Amino acid sequence: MILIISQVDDKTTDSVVNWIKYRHGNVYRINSCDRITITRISFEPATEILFCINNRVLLNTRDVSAYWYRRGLKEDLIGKTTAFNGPEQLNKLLLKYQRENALVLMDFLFAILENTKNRIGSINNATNNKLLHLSIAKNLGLHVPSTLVCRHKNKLDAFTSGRSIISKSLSNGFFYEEEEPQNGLKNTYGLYANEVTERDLERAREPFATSLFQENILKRFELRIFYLRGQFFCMAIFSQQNKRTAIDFRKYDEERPNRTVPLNLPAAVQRKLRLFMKTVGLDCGSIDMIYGKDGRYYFLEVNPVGQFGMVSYPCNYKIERVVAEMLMQ
Amino acid sequence: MFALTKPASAIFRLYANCILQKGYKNYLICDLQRQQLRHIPPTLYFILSRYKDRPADYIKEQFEHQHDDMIDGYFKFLCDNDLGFYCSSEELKLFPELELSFDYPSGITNAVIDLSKNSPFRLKDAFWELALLHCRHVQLRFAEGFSVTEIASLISSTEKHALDSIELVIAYYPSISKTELDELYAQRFVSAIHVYNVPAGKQHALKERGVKDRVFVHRHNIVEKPVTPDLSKLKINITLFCESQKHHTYFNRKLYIGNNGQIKNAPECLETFGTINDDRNLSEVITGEAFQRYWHVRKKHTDICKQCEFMHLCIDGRIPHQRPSGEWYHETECSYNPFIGKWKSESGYKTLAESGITSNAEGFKINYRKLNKINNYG
Repeated sequence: MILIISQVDDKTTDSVVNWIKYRHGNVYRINSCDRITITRISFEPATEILFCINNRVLLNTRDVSAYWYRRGLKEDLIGKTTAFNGPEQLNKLLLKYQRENALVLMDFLFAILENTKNRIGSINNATNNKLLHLSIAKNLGLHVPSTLVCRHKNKLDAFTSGRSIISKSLSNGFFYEEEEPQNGLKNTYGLYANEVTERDLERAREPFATSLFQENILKRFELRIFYLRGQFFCMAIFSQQNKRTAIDFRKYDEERPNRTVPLNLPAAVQRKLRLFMKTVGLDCGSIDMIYGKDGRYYFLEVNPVGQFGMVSYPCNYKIERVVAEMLMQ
Repeated sequence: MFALTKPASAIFRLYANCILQKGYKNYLICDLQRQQLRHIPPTLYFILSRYKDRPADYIKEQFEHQHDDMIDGYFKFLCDNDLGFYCSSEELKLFPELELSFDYPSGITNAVIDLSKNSPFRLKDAFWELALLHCRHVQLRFAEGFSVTEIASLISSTEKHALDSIELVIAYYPSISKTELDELYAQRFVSAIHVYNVPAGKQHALKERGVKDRVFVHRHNIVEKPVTPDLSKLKINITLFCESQKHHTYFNRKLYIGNNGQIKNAPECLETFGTINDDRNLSEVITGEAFQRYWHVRKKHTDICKQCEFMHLCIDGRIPHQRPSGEWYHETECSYNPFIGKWKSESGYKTLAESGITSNAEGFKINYRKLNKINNYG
């Protein structure tokens, strides 16, 4: 049986599941809204975990032939904790203890599941540290934009010295959808990379919150690459023509969306990226890069749980079918 | 954009999703990403195809530098309209063509089911069979006598069968209300509702809703007398374009179940392949060569279509016929004549026969004298 860990509205997972079913594969999908309870763990003759989904379906790790971690947090899969009646402080300790026990069980479950030979992704890689990745990339010979993390204006000034500088989120950021619709529409706000202007500097406090700044690379185009077990699926995004998207292509223009076309990534870049992914322990992920006007490929970041449907469809790569075929081997 | 300071050796490239298409008379760039068409002059088509991947300078030389301004103008037009870009010869290898293979995780991609009060099969049995074929898109056409409530209850088992979309075609009855139609449309998997036989006076009351809503009212019985699809609403997207390369976009992986349970390729077809109540299950039927007869009929092997610039953008339901020589043809005309480049609704339109084109069981012929006169080719 192929086991997939995902989220309920992930269309990419829907597509992979459809491919597996069409090819008569046996697949079970666990979403973050599901609850896992560990029923039994035996260690003889070999480690085997019996676990229950939503108190309805019983699965055995022994039956899992292939595993794909697509998205979702371990913590979400833990069932409800039991409330206690007692002194508040003791209750707090008991609830915390319950969760810790549950995590021990969950961690062990995923350790065994991810021991499956045929596995893609890992629930322990759900987040990515941009700074760590940038420094590893640099050490491995990938070009990265000039970077500074600071909280003082004079340091930022020195770093800027006449160049165009952008500020980026240190972590993954968030999207906020308004609770109340305005004129029938609910606006969504996101954190995008933005150019740092004179006005921003004037309005900032001193010191400001420690922030990440990078040189704004003049680009020919951006690259969105889905990496999967040594294979690269690359797409070029021509966003420079459109001022709105020139810095962050996700801030897209619905009327004139950026051009998304397939790209052959040069072998030299592939080699370095393969080494990078091996070094950071990722067998799959979405890599963002820039092809600068200077002809260089700049590494920006990798997202282990990033979308790849946005690369698969425009380039007709059928990545979802590739994933399904790998899981069915 | 680097067009302003480009070196003479810069090579113009159409984006991979902007694909050249050629018809008898007209030439196009199909923008599969933005889902738009651009008509282009024959000379530009010639330059883009014959001198693909050649620097602008080389192209100008081929015209002995007599048309430098025109060539610059063409490329400027293409850049301004974001249909292409410049790159160096070293960068050419970075940009492959769009791969055009088609594949889809369903044995049957779409099904049409007719249901009447006398149908000898149950809808949920049909759904069950379709699920085995991994079909996720269905159009249900109800004969008279079904209320919205009944229909809602009949399709309520849909979630279990994992259908992605259902289109409903419902016969009007006097007590039908906009509210219950709204409720039906609001269900997640209901993608469109057509109400037919709606008297002129009642249409507005049912139809009044947001422009984006796909609820349509029809005066006539669109089940018995299907509306000729408006082919001028061409479908410009990657999926259809790819499917069209090697398959018939209307018949490929389509299934029809009539209200007597009869199994066919499509509502228009005469040939039946048993009924749904037979002992054989549907997967056996659809894997047969006979059932798949029309699935692989390509427009590029079909008379008229193969000389139409809209060849890969069209979903045409006419049944194709095959000559002993292997070529395909149609017995009726569609609404576009590619030999003169005109739609039926346009002034100056002429039928194929009037344009000197003959396409039938005997063969295909063009009376060039007649055609050239119409096209003012002299």
